[in-house]
Amino acid sequence: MGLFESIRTLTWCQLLACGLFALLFSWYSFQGDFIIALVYFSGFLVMGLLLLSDQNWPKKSYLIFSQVVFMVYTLASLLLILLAESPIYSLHLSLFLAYPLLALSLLSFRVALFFILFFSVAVNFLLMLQLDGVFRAAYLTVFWSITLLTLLHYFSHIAYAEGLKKQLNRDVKTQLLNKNQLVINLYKEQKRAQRELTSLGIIFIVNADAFDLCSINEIMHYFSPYEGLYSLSSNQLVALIPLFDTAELNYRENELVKQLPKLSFSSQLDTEQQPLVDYLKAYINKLEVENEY
Amino acid sequence: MNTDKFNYKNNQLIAVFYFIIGIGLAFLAVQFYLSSYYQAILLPTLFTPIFFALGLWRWQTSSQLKNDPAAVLALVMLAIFLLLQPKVFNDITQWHWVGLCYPLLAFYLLPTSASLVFNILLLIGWLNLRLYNQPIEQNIVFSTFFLLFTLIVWIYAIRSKIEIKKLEKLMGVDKETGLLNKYYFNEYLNAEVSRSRVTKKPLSLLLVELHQYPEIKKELGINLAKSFIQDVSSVCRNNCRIGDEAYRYDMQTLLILMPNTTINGSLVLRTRLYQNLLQALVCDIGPLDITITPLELRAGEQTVDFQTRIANSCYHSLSERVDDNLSN
Repeated sequence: MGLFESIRTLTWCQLLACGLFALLFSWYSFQGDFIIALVYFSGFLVMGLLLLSDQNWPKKSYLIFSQVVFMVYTLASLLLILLAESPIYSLHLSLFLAYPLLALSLLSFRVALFFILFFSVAVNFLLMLQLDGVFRAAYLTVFWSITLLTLLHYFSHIAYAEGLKKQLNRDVKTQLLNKNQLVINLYKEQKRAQRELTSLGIIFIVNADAFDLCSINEIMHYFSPYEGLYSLSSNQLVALIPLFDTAELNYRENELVKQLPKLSFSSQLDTEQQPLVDYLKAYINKLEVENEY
Repeated sequence: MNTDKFNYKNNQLIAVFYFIIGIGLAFLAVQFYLSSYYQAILLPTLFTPIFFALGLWRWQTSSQLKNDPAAVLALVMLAIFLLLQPKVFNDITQWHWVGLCYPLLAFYLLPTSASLVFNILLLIGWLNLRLYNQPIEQNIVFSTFFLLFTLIVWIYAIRSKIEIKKLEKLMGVDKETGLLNKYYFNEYLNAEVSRSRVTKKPLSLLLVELHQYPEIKKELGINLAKSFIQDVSSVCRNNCRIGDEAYRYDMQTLLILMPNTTINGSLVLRTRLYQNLLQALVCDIGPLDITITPLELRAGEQTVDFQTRIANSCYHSLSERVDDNLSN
């Protein structure tokens, strides 16, 4: 990615946007236009939240807080159209056109869509009452076509992102290889173990809560680079252990229990009676059914 | 949805967008003609066929350049229209607000930093050609709205791009060949080196360099180059034994990692692979020019050193490496 499309540039842009929101808030407060000042202050809060979105916030409280802030921004924008005595069309349009972008950046898809629809319909009614003639037609056409274009662009983007997520062989949160890749690699390892006359086992690692990057890094220290660690679900990992027989695998499991007492472990060796591929496929299916419920 | 399909749909979307602008301009031109407002007829009449042509062009083909020439032309024309077109609606006194749509269109059509340049140039043109008789205070406030809006659109565009790049980076598979990519290879090489050390078994690899690939891409186009490398990767994949794995190492190099194989074993496999490639491939620009280099992990060699040795064994990057050494 180019210099102008990096995470650092994004942070600087967000800081600059925060600064401009604050500047406009101060300007309109100084002018005595408190409704416009309120819109820019709420815009400042929205941009501030976007800036802090990469921090480790509790997910639920961040969602609630962002929805409350965005609600304030929406109401302030609508109040501005309702109460403005002499509308400044460039100011209004800059707010209307930026609205879907801010909603889609800050909120989850469904909530953002709800906000955009509500806001667009409300703005449409208010503008129909306030404007007239060709100007009204031109203004509303521009407003709706740009809003629809933004949504269309977002839909194509989200469809592509979802398509990529389906093709991924890694878990996005933990960055570990995922269950699809586990089945592929397990099959390959099984063939290789047969060819090289070695054994193959797996160790399940279960945590009460979801794994984070820190805990995964800690767990990885206890495995060699050739012993792959895979993510089955948010709180379940699997380590693929080649070259170990039953006794060694049990010893290894006991060692892990001693060293990582907060986690629970169980192991399984690849045998002719119970091939690991079938066992794991059944286990993954069971997990998926549980997740659905 | 794969990348090709996405690009195709995206191109169609952009083509439809050009058609819509073309229809809008044609409608304006007809309206000016009927109302005998001939002063304003020139730009819409001139730009209408160009937008239709751009639409047809994007519908049929996709751009391989970073900055799509069709988008650049469309943005230049829209900027000229916004800056030079006489007033369209007599009722509108502050009609410069229409220009606020420009940043959005710019970032949708040309999602690179070039669109930022277009926006800033438009603002400068706007202040000099349209708003020169407005009070300075109003111009400053309008510029602040415009810059803030441009920043919001840019933030949205960069966020979307970063999200997609993150996902693409996590993809272990090369889009063109379906082989595992270099990101994945480096991870697996580390695992295999460690395993080779534990089991005391050899580890070797074959570097397959396709010297004609850049030339095919340049002279015969991306589609034929893609088909060529897909054929080579299919032969490489078929040549893999149990435990072997094929990777796309760089643009024109494939790699087969072979655990439990000595250098002599890899020489035998190299000959077999070369014969298979000669039989299976037809190169449109002359006799097949491929180098297959076998390499073996040396005793006590670290993964990083082995990676460096692999990179230094590529013939196609030899001239770059010599240049670097000379400049150092």
